[in-house]
Formats: sequence, C-alpha cells, structure tokens
Amino acid sequence: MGFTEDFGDFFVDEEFGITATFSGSNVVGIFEETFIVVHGIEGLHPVFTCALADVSGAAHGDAITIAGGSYKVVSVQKDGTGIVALVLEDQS
Amino acid sequence: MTHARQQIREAVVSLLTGLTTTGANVYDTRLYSHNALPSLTVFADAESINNEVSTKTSQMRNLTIRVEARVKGTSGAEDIVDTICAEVDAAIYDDTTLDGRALDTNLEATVIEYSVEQDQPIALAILTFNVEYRVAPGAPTVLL
Repeated sequence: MGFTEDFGDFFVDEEFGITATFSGSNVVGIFEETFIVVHGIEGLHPVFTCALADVSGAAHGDAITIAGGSYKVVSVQKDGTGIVALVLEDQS
Repeated sequence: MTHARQQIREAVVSLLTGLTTTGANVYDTRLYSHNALPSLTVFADAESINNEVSTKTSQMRNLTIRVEARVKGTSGAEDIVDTICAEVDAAIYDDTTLDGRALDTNLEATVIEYSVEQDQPIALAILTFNVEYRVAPGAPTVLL
C-alpha cells in the first residue's frame, strides 16, 4: 500500500509557515530570504517552499504575494517528494 | 605628496562623480560590498614602466584603471549598464589627460557579466582603461 505524506504538518502558518497568495488562493509555505553577495552587491535570495499540490500549475512568470510583497516566480524546483521551492524575483 | 597613481585614481573618481545614471554613487577602491546602486567603483590595478620611451629624467608609465559599473533591477539591467558605460566612456574621453595628470587615457576593454542569484537581476560591467603618464625617475609622486 502506498504511503501518502501529509505536508500539512510541515507547512503551518502558526509556526514557521506563512500564508502566500498564489493564483487567487492562499498557500501556506516557508519563506526564506537568504543574504547573499553577488558581484559585490548585497542582496537577498527569496525562496518560497510549499507542497507541490498547492501550486501544481506554478510556472516561470507567475505572480505570488507574500507578506504584502509582490514577487514573480523565476524558477520552479521540485524535489521529487511532493515539495517545491519557488525561487522568486522581487517586483518592488 | 601622494603617489601619481593615487592622484590619477582620484582624478578618475572626480571625473566620474555626478554622471546622469550613477550620480554620487562613485567609490574609490571600495573593497566592501555595495548596497547603493547603480554605482561606479574605480581601482588602480596594475602598472608597467615603458623603458623604451623613458629617459634619465622622465619615466613613462602605463597604469591600468578598472571602472566597475553595478546595476540591479527587475528589468532593463542590460540597457542601464550599457548607458552607464556610455556615460563613463564619454566622461573619460572628454578629458583624457585626467585634469592634467596623464598624457593620454584609452579604453581598452569592456566585460559584462550578469547574475540572477539575487531577488532581482544584476549586471556588472568592467571597463579597463590604460593611462599613460610620466614621472621623474625615483620620484613617483612628481608628475611631469
């Protein structure tokens, strides 16, 4: 019998999770902005990680809103277990 | 008295300060990372002595000046960095003596790199200039 993971336990907005708006729906995931220096420029690398099923149609160029900030999806990185990391471009 | 190399580097910084796109974001040998963009950073990278045209009283030197232009934005970084390059090129060629410190200054190469590793695309242009200048032998602070 197949094993079905419940990703709802991983992405909880009362804990480390945050609710984003993607394609008109609320999606709970983990939002990270890692500090990074590239070509001598300081900046952040924003990534939203969530259950793939919650953003199954995600594609490059899609809009997503997180904590009032507007972002564009520039990379869809599926991990093969049902989780996806959306790499984002800040639209501000 | 400061080394001629420093005088030349500072003259380039002065010449490039206030350009339309980069404004006051011009730095002299900034080694720390940047957060005010778009920007220009000036380095004096290397120097050679041209003995073929030097004499007992006059030493010819070639100084490599590197100007780095940094841009970050959601769109058009490639256009903005090219605009900055044009402004730098024009400013230097408007005064190739660098306010009387050099015999001549010429752009030798431009390299442009891009990155999408941050929250917005980044463009970095590196302009390399050759600056010919002359000093008294053994007295590199004295420009001739």
